[in-house]
Amino acid sequence: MSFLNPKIDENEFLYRAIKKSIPNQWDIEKNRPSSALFKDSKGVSVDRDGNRNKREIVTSFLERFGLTELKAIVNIRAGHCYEKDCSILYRPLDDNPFHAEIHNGNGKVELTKGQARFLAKNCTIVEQYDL
Amino acid sequence: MIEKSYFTPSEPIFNPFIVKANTSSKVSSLWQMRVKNRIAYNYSSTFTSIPQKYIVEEKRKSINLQKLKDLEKLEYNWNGNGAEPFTTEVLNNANYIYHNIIREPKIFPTGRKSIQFEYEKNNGDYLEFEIFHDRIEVYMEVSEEEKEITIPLINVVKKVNEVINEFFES
Repeated sequence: MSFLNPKIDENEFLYRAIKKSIPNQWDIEKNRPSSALFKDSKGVSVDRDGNRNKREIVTSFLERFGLTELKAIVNIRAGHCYEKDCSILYRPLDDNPFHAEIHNGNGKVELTKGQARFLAKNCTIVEQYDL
Repeated sequence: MIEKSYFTPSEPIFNPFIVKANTSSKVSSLWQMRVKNRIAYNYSSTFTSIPQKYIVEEKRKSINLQKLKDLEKLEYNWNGNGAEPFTTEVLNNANYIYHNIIREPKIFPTGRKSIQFEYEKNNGDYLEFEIFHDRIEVYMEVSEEEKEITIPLINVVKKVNEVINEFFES
């Protein structure tokens, strides 16, 4: 199912969940994600906002992952990804029509270290669950 | 207080590099450096309050030792995006490097079969080592300039420590 514009506007926000694995990708000293969060051989899996409000988006993550499994939810403006030449591919799933992936933008899936670091520095914490 | 194990070699793990490194003078100089730091620590804790940086290092060390153990236990899909467990080679490399580097890093797992060691200064300068099964990739941001190099596993400790020294002395 696909009902959103495949081209993602620079002002749209992309949401990413951080699972509460032990260890995880959260930098407790800086209270923000490490760039390791944006290093994924399958592409960086995110949810587009798709004109939903934050509460709807957070609820959607909680329903899929469960409160006890989540460390935090962060978001990043699509414009920040484009600024570092990343590409954002709209890849809706059967159970998640808002799913997208951030890729390198150079025909490769994995982000460069500079891209990953930039996204980690510029993302915003939406929810944090284990303070 | 720093426990004794800080100055004794770590428990041996099966890695041919360890055998080589433990018999070299390079490791000896590493221990000398740590002992030197210890003397400075003792001096300062005797005559002044304990410097904040030693407290941070000790706290990180305790967290890191646990993290290295926990990394071995991560199962398939630990990140919710189908990440694989870490291979023995990657875990051995991370353990070997951790136990032979001159400063406590921050340690994180990535979703691309690598383990990341990070350092960041108060001014935002940043250094990371991404440890794979066959190489170490280094990324550095100093005064907003980016630099990347790849270090092969031969003489890896010497090179990693040189990069750390260069970063903190710059």
